[in-house]
Amino acid sequence: MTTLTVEGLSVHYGGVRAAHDVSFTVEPGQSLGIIGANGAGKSSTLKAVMGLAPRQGRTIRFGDHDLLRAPAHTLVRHGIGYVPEGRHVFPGLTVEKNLLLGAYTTSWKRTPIDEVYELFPVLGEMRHRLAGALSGGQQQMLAVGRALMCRPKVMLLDEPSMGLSPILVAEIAGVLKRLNTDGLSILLVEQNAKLTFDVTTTCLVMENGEIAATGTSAELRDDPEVRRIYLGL
Amino acid sequence: MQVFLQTLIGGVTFGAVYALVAMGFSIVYRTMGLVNFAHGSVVMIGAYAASTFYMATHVPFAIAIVVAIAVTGLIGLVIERFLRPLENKDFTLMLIGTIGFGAVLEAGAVLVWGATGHAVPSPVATEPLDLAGVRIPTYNLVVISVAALATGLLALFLQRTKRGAAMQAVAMDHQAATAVGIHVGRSNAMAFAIGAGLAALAGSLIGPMLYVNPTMGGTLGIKGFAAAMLGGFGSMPGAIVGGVAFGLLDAFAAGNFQEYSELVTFLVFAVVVMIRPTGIFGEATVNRA
Amino acid sequence: MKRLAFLVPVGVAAWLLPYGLGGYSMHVVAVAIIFAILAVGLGLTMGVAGQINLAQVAFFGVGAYTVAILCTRAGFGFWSAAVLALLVSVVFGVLVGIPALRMQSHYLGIVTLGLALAFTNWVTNATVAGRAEGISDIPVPVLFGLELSSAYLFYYVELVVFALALAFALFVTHSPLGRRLRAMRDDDLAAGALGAEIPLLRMTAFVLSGVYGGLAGVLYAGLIRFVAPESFNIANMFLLLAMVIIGGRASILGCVVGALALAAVREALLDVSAYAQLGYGIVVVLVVVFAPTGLAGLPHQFRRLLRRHGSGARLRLGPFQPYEQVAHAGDGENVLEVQGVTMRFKGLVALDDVSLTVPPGQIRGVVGPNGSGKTTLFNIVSGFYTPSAGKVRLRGLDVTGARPYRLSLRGVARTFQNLRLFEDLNVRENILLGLDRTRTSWIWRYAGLPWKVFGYQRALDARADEIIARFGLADFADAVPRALPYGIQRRVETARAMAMSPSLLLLDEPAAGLNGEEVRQLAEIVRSIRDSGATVVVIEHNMGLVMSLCDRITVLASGKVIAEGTPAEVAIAPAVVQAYLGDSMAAPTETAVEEATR
Repeated sequence: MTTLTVEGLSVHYGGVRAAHDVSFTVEPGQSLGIIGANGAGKSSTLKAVMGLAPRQGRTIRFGDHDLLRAPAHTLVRHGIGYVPEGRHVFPGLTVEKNLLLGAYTTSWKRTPIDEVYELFPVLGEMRHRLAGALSGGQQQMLAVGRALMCRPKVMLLDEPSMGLSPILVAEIAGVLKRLNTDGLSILLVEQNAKLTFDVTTTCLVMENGEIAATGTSAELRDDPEVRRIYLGL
Repeated sequence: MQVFLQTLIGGVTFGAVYALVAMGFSIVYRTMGLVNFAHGSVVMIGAYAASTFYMATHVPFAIAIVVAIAVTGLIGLVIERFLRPLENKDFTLMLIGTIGFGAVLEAGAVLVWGATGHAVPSPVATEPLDLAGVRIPTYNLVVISVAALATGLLALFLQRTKRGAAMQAVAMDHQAATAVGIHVGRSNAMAFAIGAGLAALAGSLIGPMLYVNPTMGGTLGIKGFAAAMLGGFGSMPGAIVGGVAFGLLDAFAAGNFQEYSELVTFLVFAVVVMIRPTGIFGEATVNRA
Repeated sequence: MKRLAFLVPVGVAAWLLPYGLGGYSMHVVAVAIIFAILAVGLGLTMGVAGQINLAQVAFFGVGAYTVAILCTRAGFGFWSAAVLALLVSVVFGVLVGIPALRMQSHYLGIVTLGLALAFTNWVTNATVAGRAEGISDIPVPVLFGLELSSAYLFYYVELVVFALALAFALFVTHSPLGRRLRAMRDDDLAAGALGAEIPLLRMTAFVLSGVYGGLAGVLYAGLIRFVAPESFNIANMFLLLAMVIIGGRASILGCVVGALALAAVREALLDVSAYAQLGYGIVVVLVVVFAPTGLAGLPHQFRRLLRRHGSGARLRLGPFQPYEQVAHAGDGENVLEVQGVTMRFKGLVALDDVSLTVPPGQIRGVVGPNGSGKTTLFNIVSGFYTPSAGKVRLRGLDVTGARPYRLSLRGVARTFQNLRLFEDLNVRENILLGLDRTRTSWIWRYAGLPWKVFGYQRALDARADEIIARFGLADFADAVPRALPYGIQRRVETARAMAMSPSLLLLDEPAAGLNGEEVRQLAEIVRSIRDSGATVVVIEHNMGLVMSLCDRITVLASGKVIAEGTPAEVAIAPAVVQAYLGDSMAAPTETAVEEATR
């Protein structure tokens, strides 16, 4: 089965250590959250898994595929969808082109684009609009939709709640839960702890580039110490 | 009136060539965010390659053009490979790097072909068409139609193909493009090769109308660049409109101010872009703030 | 100043140089110095101020041609012609610089290059400029009765001029003006918000370019006594650019070294000039790729390589030391009054008839869903946008549509949602920029009263230390922002805004990306800022912070004000609950609100 395994991953930018000796696995159908304050190394960890940040590690595997030596642009072929921090849609292309590019590595004749439009009806309504003209929430939906276009087995999301109002955060959370119920594995990196606890079953808490605590989301939700120290809730 | 029409035809012909040069600038700018100051020198190399091959082997001019496109496409790949480490890092440095490449190409041309240059016989031998007293050289019509054809093909590529869309996506966001599976380096290299190919096409076409020499690239490059700016940097329709507009400006300045045409052309250009810096169609690119 | 001690032996060596050189070598050195002056000018304009000016050889040409024309056609003496030539090239610099007010980067590059071509085109064809043959009978300059006919004598004139030009350039780069120029190069919007008059600074850069070009031109006319179009063509512009890039564009001394080195190489390869050009081209490409800071940056690159793995002692963010409490001036005049402001962008209405009034000493929160126009409102108040309709008043004074620098000098400071610190300037310099409250027109002192500038700089330094200490940034004063954690960068931006001693502080999402402890510190800092006499308007998503920090809250949705009141009032207003929290959410109870605002 396709389990995402990360062992001993470290990320350094220049001389600055962003993440150190991070290990975790995402089992098929599981939803794992990584929470922690900004600058704790969450995003760097995710980027390093995607090959978008300078990394060292013992193992990064997805099923039988060794991702440690795989160039970043090949990951999507193995069924890894990525929703970057800050959405990063292609602003000057239409919504439809954005989605189709999500299926860049597959034939454009058979894409799940209708399913994406079903999941996010607003994208269907705006399919011929330029992505740059969408609101923040719509862009976030587009980014998620684009990642779904490669029919991923696991989806990596980096701060999907960033800059969104509470109602949109709740909507994104609903979509993620639904996707997870349908069998998609999810690795969610978030500063927003409430969203993460709602969506995931297991969580890692990162601090200063290292994993400081692990547990089920329910345990961590009620752990006052973790809340006080790491989340500032 | 006849003089006016004659100037108009000449202006549109040169304008078509400027449009090709401007499109080459624009596609590289749009996909890589790189302003390629070596582009003019690539045009010059294209002109030399086509004319030398044409005169040495007496093959049809079309084949000579294909050879020139291949040669400059390779040069484009080399330039892209060298500057790749700077991509998406420092805009000004890349710009200066391309100026460096321009100097290398120009010096290379002097070393290979000598400093003096050569004239190229017209590849179309038929008599000029006579339309109500206005003589239109057949070759001018060839230039205009080839440029139009190339433009159409490029538009089709960008709008209708997966690679075309990917190329634009890389321009807008290279990390996101990588994440969806696009090989950014390969896409950029292709954009650069297409840009260089357009330059070679422009150079080959203008060869028989000008004297081919190592410094022709400087002027042609600046004029093509100015045309791109006039139309709106990075915009394909802008490149076409800007090219023709600049060709006309050039032709009418030459008609009215003779040896001072360059002075007038660039002064007018400076004033126009002062009034409307984003050009006619505005800059079609992501915000680099 | 001690760092410049090495210049003394260099100066002595330069003074003695002619005794060891033959006639031709002397000539080569004299020409090299002219290029060095040009390179210093280009370094100032392009490297320090970031203006891509490809017309520097044209300024050079204007200087040389003006001397030649005035001496040979109008009977002027050399020195009076020289003074006029300098003036003419400065005027030319200003004219070429005008496009810089409207465009930057490659756009500016191509326009200046076009104007340089226009200049070459004119001198090649105008009879008064001697057409392609040039002007050859420029009289020998006479100084104190001495005919400067040989390169040996002229060398000393050049040396003095060069030393003065170099000293002035170094003085400018290391002064408040240079700091503003560098800030403008890195981020002109942020520089404007800090009080830098961008248009005037850009023109200053081109004036400097004109001065150095003109100086070089005058010296060239006096040395060679012959001017022709090809000395000022595009190929020489490229050579000059190569000098500056290879030497290191942001370092004035680097530019000098690059100029002298390349002038020597050019001389050595004069017979095989195509190879020489090939060589420069390749070196420029290599420098751009492998050593972007040029020769001047090499020592630093080596040092970084050497200590790449050794990390220094752990640096700590110190505690914030609160401001002294000051009673607010009780004249009752509102600090900020926004009246019926509407902002349209191409059919999209970002703000629709928005009004708000902020009395002195208030902390006002502006909240609302994304895209509701909060940042647009800030951009209007800080002068980045001119509203389509409506008025903005500061303490009763109408400032609608005033430029950012003007508002900044009137006491409006702001931070940015995505942090706009100057990446190539260290923390101290970022703060010094906030402290510098002079109008740019003050810069006439650079030419007239340089010692005043030094005094001013010392005063700024002392105050910078104070602010750095107050915000607990002492450990990071010499670091560049990019190397610092996000939370500290936010703190630096707030410190920079407070360095401006604002009466109105606009904070755009100051808590974004901060952890709980940092948010708590932020609240403390903002309260202290208010107590120090400033009025604060804050855009924020973190509702917990907004509820506990703000005196009053304005709620925007789709560009309209849908509610305004105390946190307790706003939190239970039905329109707010509906627009901001969504239908599905139940309205918070009074007790929950009480808890949040406690």
